[in-house]
Parts: sequence; C-alpha cells; structure tokens
Amino acid sequence: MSRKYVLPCAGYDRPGGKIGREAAEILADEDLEVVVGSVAALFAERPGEVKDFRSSQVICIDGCSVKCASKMAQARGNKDVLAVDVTESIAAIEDSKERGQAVVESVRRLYQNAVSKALPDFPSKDIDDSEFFIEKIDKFILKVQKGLYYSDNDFWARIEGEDVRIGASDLLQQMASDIFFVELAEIGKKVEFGDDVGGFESTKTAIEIITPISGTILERNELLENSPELVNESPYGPGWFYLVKPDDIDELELLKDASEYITYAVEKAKHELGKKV
Amino acid sequence: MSFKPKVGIISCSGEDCTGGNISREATLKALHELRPNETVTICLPLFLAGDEGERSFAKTFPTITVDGCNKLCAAISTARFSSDPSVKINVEDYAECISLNPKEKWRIGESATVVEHIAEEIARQVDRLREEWE
Repeated sequence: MSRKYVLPCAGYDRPGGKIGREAAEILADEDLEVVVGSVAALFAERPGEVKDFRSSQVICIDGCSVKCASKMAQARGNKDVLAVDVTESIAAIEDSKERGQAVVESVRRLYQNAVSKALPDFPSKDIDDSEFFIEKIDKFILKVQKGLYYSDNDFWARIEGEDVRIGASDLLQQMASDIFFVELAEIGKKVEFGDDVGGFESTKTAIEIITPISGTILERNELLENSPELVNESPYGPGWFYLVKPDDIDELELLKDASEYITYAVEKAKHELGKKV
Repeated sequence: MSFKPKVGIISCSGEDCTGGNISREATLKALHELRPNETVTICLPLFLAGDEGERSFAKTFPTITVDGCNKLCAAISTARFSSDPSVKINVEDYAECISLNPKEKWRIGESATVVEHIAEEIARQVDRLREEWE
C-alpha cells in the first residue's frame, strides 16, 4: 500500500508530541502519499479523516508511554497499525535538532519491514512498460499486460505453474473508480467459468467478480480486506483476487489474448466515455 | 485568602491545518508566558484516550477550549467526557480559516498577530474565571 496515514501524538505541551509532529512534517514534505492524521478528528470520526484512515497504511507516532495515537487507531478498528515510540527512537540522539529526523528513520524502517512482509505471496518481479500494450484514450491511459488472458467481463487470468491467478483489468478498475470494499469467496470453493465469486464496491458502482476459469480457489488476496485500493493501484500486481487450481487449463483458450483484448478494451473505453476518439 | 483554581486549557489537535497550529501556539503562549502559574494544559489525545486525571480535572475545575476551526473538536470532546467548557474559543472567530496561509500549518509566520490576540484572550478569560470562582 503506497498511501500512508501518519498519526502523530498530539500532545502539544510534551516533548514527544513536538518531536512527533516534526517527524510528521518531514514525512509529509518528502512523500506526497503521506496524509497527516488528527487524533481528535479520528475520534470524532470525521468522514474525510475516516476515509484516509481506512484507505491507508496507518503509522502512529506515539510521544509518550500512554500511546494515545496507537490506542485511538486501534479503537477505530485498525489492529494492524505500525507504531513508532518517540522515546525509543531518540534515546541515543543527543542533538535535539536531529530527533525529528531520527523518528522519521524509525518510521521508514518500520514501514519497509511491514511492506516486505505483507507481500510475500506475490511475485516480486518488477513490471515495466514494455510488458504492456498501452493506449491513450482522451485523458485516460489504458494498460493491458501482455501474456495474460482476458474475459469480456474485463478480468484477467495468468498461468502460474499449474495454477491460474485472476484479477481485474486496468480498464475495469478505471471504470469502477475508487474501490473501497472487496468481498472475496472462501478458499476451497469450487467455481465454474462465468460464476460470480465475490465482488467489490467503488465510489461509483458495485461489480461482481466473474471468474474467467473453472476450478477450485486455492488462495484469495487477504490484503484486499484492509487495502481494497490495491485493485486500483496495481490491478495486475498486488491487487489480484484469487489463485485458482483450474479444472481444465485449456479453458483459457476461450478468452482473449492481450493483443485481442486491447482492441476490445479501447472500443469499450470509448463507449464508456460516450464519444468517438 | 480564597482559593483560586488553576484553569485547564484544551487545545485543538488538528495536525494538518493552520487553525490547529494557531490554537496550539496561542495555548502554549498563555500557558508558559502569560499565565504560567494560573493554568494547566489538558492533553486532548490523552483526554480522549480516557485518562482519568485529565477528565476529572475538567469535571471539577474551569476549562477553556481553544479550537482551530468550526468543527470544535476540543469543545465537543470536553463536553462529552467532562462538562461544558467554561469558555470556548474558536480561531475562526479571529481569522477566517480560508484566509489563513496553509503553509503555516507547521510554523507560524504572518499569523503571529492572531496567535497573540488569542493568547491574550485566553489570559483574560483565565483571570475572569479565577476571579469569579466561588
């Protein structure tokens, strides 16, 4: 998850609170994906604050042992907060000017560790643009990854050994817009080609996940429960839905390959945009 | 000589907005410079997290909330967990939020005058509350 909700201790009259705020300032200045949260706004469940909180990796900066920021984040339903203790982070730092930066480094280390642990199931191979067909339609850039199979419902299937991973195409996630909820079927469920197996909701619509292959669900992407926006951010990567053991791998021949699908997808996108491009 | 209580000051914790920063700066100025012996700070997050010391003080003694915007988080929270604040100060009554420089959400610059006015108002209210205390 690239978006981070940094919740500093708001104890304005305490040294830890001041340093935590300095660290939040540095993080926000350096990283556009950082949103600085407010304990009081989170407490009051202000809609914008809650949206940021739920759609981001939450990182608390606690200024003292009471750990108000972490407690508030957990009270609001996030049990997976990353928490940095200012007191521990600055224990060996004598120069007061370097303390904010020391907390920033602690936050970065913690975040990197969490990210590397969170994505162990997905191939870490870098994806570059040469692996895509890319079309620009009006202001939209449409990407279709080569080597995958695509259904007319805009889901992709990728062969991985004897199994098949499935997800939503870039076109589908763009049409859906901001996805805030994904519901996935249970592991072990047997599915038939064209079955709906869960679904997702966005700010614009609700969409059923239509499986492009028959088989048995081996894995489902648990990260999507807390991070549904991964489907928007990386539909061919960490935003996948299921890993399926196919009944018949040849069923994929019923689907479009990437070169066929890009033509289909461009036409569909033009139609969605409601104009000839 | 009659007992004069200290006055608890509860400031907004809006991190990413200029009003929040102004409210905190004004509160700190009143606490440390203008009325250091007559005031105590009440930590809003600690208060919200359920600290009994902070909440019971605010139930018993006079409090001044200093909010950074019209959402009035500090005033609402104080009323919910302790009792109605004795005085509610809102930065937006001194400067419209829209006119505040967003760059000052971390460091006060041209809003120093607003900070000064609010700190003085806090100090005035502290004096009044202590004077009227029975």
